[in-house]
Amino acid sequence: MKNILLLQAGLVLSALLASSAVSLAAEPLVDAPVNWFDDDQRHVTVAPAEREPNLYWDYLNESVSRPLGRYTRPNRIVRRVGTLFGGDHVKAAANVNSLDEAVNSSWFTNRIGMFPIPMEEVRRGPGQGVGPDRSGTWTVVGAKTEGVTPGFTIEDARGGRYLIKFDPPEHEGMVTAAGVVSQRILHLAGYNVPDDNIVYFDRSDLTLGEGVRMSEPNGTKRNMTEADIDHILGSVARKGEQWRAISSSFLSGKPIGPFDYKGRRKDDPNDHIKHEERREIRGLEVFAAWLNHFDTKQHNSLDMFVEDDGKSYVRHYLIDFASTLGAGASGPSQRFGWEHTFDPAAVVRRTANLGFWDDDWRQQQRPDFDEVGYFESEQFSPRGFSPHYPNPGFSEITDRDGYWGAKIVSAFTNEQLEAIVEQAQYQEPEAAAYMVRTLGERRDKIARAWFDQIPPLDFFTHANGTLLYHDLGQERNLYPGTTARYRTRMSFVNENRGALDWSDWNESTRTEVAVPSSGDAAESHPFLAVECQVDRGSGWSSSVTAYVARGSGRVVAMKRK
Amino acid sequence: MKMETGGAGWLTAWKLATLIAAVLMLAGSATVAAQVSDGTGQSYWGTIASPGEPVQAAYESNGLSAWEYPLLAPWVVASVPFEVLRFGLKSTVGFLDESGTLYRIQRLLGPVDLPYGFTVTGAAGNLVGIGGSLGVYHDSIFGPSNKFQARFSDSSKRHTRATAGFIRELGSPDHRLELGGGYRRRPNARFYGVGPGALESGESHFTSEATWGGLNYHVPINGPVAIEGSAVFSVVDSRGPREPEEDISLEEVYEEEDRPSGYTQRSDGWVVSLGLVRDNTLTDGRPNSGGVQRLGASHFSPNTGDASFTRYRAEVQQFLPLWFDRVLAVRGYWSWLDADRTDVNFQRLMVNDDPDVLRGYSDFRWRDRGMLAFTAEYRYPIWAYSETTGTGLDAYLFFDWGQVFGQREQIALTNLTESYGLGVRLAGGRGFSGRLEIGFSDEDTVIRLRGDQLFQFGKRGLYHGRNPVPAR
Repeated sequence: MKNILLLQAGLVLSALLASSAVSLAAEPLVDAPVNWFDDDQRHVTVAPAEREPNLYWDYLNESVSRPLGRYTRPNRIVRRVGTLFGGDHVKAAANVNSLDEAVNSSWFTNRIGMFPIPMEEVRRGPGQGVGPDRSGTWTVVGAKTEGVTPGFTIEDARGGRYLIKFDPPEHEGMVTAAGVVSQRILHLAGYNVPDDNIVYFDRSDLTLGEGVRMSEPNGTKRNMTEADIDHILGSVARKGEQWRAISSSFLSGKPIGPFDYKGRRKDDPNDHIKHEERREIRGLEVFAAWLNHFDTKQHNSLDMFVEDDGKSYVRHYLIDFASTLGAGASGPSQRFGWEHTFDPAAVVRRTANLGFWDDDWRQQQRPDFDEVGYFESEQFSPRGFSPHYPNPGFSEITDRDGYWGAKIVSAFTNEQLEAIVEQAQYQEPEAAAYMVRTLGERRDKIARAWFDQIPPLDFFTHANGTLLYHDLGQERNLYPGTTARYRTRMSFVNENRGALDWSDWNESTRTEVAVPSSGDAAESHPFLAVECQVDRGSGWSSSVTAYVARGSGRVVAMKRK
Repeated sequence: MKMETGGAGWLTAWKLATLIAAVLMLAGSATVAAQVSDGTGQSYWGTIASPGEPVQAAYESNGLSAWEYPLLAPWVVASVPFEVLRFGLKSTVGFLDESGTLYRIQRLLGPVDLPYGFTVTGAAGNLVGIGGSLGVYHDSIFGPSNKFQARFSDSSKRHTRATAGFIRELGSPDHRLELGGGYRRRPNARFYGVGPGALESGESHFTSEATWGGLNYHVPINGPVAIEGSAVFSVVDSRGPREPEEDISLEEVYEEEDRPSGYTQRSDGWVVSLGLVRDNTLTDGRPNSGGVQRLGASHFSPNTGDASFTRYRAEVQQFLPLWFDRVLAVRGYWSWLDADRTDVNFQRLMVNDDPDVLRGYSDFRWRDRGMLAFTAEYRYPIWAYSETTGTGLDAYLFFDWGQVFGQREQIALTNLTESYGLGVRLAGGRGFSGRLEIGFSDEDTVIRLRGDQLFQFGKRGLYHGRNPVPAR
């Protein structure tokens, strides 16, 4: 009897906690310009210490230790219960403005999701889009012995330094092309990435610098020789007398190691948001799914202590996109991107089903192009992506974070994808066409998957008594064959979003609505809430609400979900 | 003229202006080319101005809600030991990596590009206790056509085995000469009596020892068909169990007249065998098609006065591909030991021990001059590192059906025992392989952890040190 009472009390407590977790305390409304910048580029006098996380420990930590922590934390369990009542399993992203957008920062710059981007930048990426200078030979100044595929560091005639990386021997073009496509896409999405380009060269283009040291795989160091260059070139793919490679520019500033996807860099005073609470870190999962970027371990990121406009601060980069688009450093693999290297849940599921059902990923067909790995759109499951091993940032993704990512993904047009794929210099035109088509189909699947959770009614602006908005689903042709209807209702609200009196729903086929310019309650309720829904033939969606300041006419906040 | 001059001048000025404009445009385009979107300008939300007040704010991490603190406090306290453990593990991993130890282990455990390395396997069961083995191998010792392997294993119940094998390929992997030898001691081997009617209540224990050494010649005659001949000298011996207070002794359970032939007596002699083998499996370890068929006879000539005998054996293994990449592995075998005398050393009789196990029964549960059994395994992959045919884990369901017999008339369906169960097999990488399984019968439930393949047990038996098959 006592146990039953305790159980009942526990259940009531859980329900209370869950409901309190669900009730989101929204920021008060303010009639002021929306913040678009995080003040995280203040001058730092002392560079933070270099981080050198251990790769093996990182695997163990992310595969076992951190997931155990996530699954056993009582507050997290309560929030999980709260998802049954419409809440999120974690708190909302910390670096979003009142319009629910990620702000510009040392991590992320709004680009294609927010602005029309000139085709020239689409092609060029973050640099000049040409790679190392070809007016003289390249001097080899270092060797890359870590990782599956070897490479080396060169200095061009202008003194620019580049990392030269190759395709695995049996798969010429696969890794280098994937690297460039993914780098261009992530740049346009808004992430900081190095300048990567495809280069071709022959042996006579390389000379060995003086006193170049290299590390053996076991850590011992020695002077590099011409034979080492030949050895590296002999172990990678080549085309006749030429080698195809990806040149990755050295980033400016002082490298201080990768960033952890969880926590903060405590010796960086500008790093004041836990990384797993950053919108662009959570939302990176959407891009990773799109590109099958399964190797998103922290070692594929890099923090640089940069000098910019007289200030020194840390800028955060994503690097190394070789393991994307179905390519792997040692060749293609069916499983990558579908489940973690060791995925206990998948093992238990397969054991229990006695082999009578097969995994979707085993049914993937590899396209008939040497340069393309397992990258397709038919089996692709936009929300079923799993990196090599768990990423603590991805495990925090909420519907709003996913919607944000999908909104940017869906902003890429077919023409832009064509221009990007062109930069990868696929040797088979059909492979390039396949890649454009597949990226487009995966893009649309991703967009629909997240837009089904949060309706893509976005970019609200107010002009001349009319509130205009965009239905990204229609504009981006994600629901062909359907006709969209919209309905809106309005209410004056106070700073705390308390509604005075909601109007009746007003249906329309246009993404605009006339708003009242004044009213009796202007002083006590200085904002207007406009709640919108869309119906594409399967019923009304959930709501998106825009808040307009009645004084200035600004759209000052958004509420989704 | 003026006009012409003027015209020419105008033309020159126009050209100059065009040139300047072109230069400016080029410069402009160069400037544009150097620019990268910086998150400002006319956005879909309206104009985003350059950073500065009031469009810039210092964002902060979310803190905990008030209700989270009391919930989290006990958890934080309870997790302190785990945090300490985690820190210790992190430091250990870091040390092992920085000292190069992890690298060296990784290189040796493979799959590696080195021709040599070592292997580690585990074993567990109520007979062996908990144990493991360490092996070394070299795939091109004294030349590229030679393989060498040595292994030592021990367990908490002092099951000890030391083996060494050598293969010399004679032109092709299928044409080979194998040399091998070993020693095996089991201080708690079981004896339940002889024949299919032996009772579970007759369980007793003894120490079994076997030593062997010999050679095997395998020569292909037509495609996958090969002739195999071998000559192996073997010694078997027995005595009381190592721990009679724990493992009840054979001498305690059986009166002297009921004790098996050859108990506490050494038996040594040569086993010479000849067989026909057809093997069209493409891989070792995880075949998904093909099969192995064997037909052979061996003759034992003792030096120690016990009975000589001739053994006949037929075996069929087949791997049948099913849906997806599932495999049904089936095996049937029949063995018969033909002797003029009845005093065949009991350790040279057929017994349900590797590889001829009946997995729902304890090892050695059945023992007699003949054995007939069928076994089937339905295998399905549950984990693979990258490709389904590579390193990975298979789960399997099995069914074993068989029995020993001493006379032809004992071969009857009613005498065959059934056992069934399930298990998990680690396959692929050379370093680790093994199976963990649980078998059920109407008499017993048996859990086994073994480092060997059951189905392909006979392949390169001398090289792999898989005694006691050569001893019979």
